[in-house]
Order: sequence, then structure tokens, then C-alpha cells
Amino acid sequence: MNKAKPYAKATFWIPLFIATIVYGIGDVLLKVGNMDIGSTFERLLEGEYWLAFLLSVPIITAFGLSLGAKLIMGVVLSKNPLGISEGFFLAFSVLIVFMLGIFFFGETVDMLNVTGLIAIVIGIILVYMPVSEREELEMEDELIE
Amino acid sequence: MDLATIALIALLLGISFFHVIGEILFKKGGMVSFADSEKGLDRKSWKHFLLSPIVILSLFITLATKGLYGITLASNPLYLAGGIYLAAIAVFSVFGGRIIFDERVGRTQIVGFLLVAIGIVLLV
Repeated sequence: MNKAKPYAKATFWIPLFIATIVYGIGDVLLKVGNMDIGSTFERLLEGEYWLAFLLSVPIITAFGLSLGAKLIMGVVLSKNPLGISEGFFLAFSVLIVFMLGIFFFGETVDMLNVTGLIAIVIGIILVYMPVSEREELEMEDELIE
Repeated sequence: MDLATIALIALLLGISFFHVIGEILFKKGGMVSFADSEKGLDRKSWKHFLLSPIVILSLFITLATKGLYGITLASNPLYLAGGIYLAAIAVFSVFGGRIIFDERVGRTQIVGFLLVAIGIVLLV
């Protein structure tokens, strides 16, 4: 029987890592594109702004990369549980976006920010963890009572 | 924490909330279109899925929220805006999904949610 190994390198970690990199680069381009055209919420009603937005190569590429990341995640989701896959994707994306912000835009962070990042990454993974069978049973008992 | 930071957090929470509404509609659309499809490979289900108003609306919401997020990125650090946006999406989608699709939330998820909330405060 050809049973897929859970969290195997080829169907979990590698595509997951690629998807987060693609997503992160997409966010970098989204920021670059919006900085280029001078995006602000006040300009949302200007026709000229929308034309610049729709013709911006970095922004269009960013949307494409976002879609690409979703498609790569499709590979991960097809072989692995939804909760774990989405949890790791979002957690790693926060990590990648944090690092790319420092690398590409020279953003300065302190130890508190790094602690916050670690808390968010662990928190996201925990939020997406499946509810244990024991807890399910406890909750059912509470409902019956 | 100053007023501008609180406004940024509120704005990103709002945008991510709408993003999650888009994802929930997408999931609902998929559940309706592929309800009778065994592996989700038949053309009829796909046609129904791609033409269903709920899916089109969900894609529109996702694109719009990504656009608004992009505007936020233009004037804020990537690590900050990106971190808050993704963390909020994670929390809203898990709790929204569990409320709407009647999924359970255990102690681990509550601890995770608290860690994310603390993380956001430390990040700003």
C-alpha cells in the first residue's frame, strides 16, 4: 500500500517553504509598488491613482505571487491536514515577512519585537492545532450536563 | 502605545476580518459546489464553483482586502503591518471557522490566541 508519510519532506516542508518565500516576495513587491505610486487611503477616489495601481508591474506581480503561493499550498493541503498546513504557512509567512522587511527595507527591530514575533509564530501554530480527543470528550460531557 | 499605532492595529484587524469573511465564503461556495462530487474533479462541479456568486464575491473581497493591505504597507514597516495582518488572519479564520462551521475550540487554541495577542502588542 502506497501510504503518504505525514509531514514528509517532498509534500510538506519543501512546498511549504517555497510557498512562504513566494508569499513573502509578493509582500515585498506589494510594498514597493504601493510606495512607488504613493498609495494612501485619501487617493482611493482618484481615477489617476487607480490607473497607476492597475498598471504597476510590482503590484500585479505581487498579486500573481500571492495566487502562486496559494496554488503551491494546494500541493501541501492535498497530502496533509488543513489545520497544521495553514498554521505553519501563516506562522512561517510572518517570519519571512519579518526577515524580508529587515533585509530589503532596512527596518530596525529590537529584542521586544523579536520576542513578539516568536510569540506570534508559536501562537499561530497553537491556534491551528487540532483539538485533542480528550478535550472533545470533555466538551461533550459539559454540553450533556 | 500611541494613537497612530492603535489606529494601525484596528485598521489591519478590520482588513483581515474582511479577508477571513472572503475565505469563509470561498469555503462555503466550495462546499455547495462540490457537495455531490466525490473527488472534486468533474467539470460540472467546477463550472458551478467558478460561476457561483458566492465564490465570485469571495474572490472580489480577497482582492479588495489585499489592495487595502498594500496601501497600509506603503506607509508602515513590512514586519509590523505584515506580522499583524497575518496573525489576525490566523486567529479570525480559526475562530470564525469554528463558530460558523461549529468546530470546537480547546485550551491549546485559547493559549495560542493569547500568545498572538501578546505578540502583536510586543511587535508594535
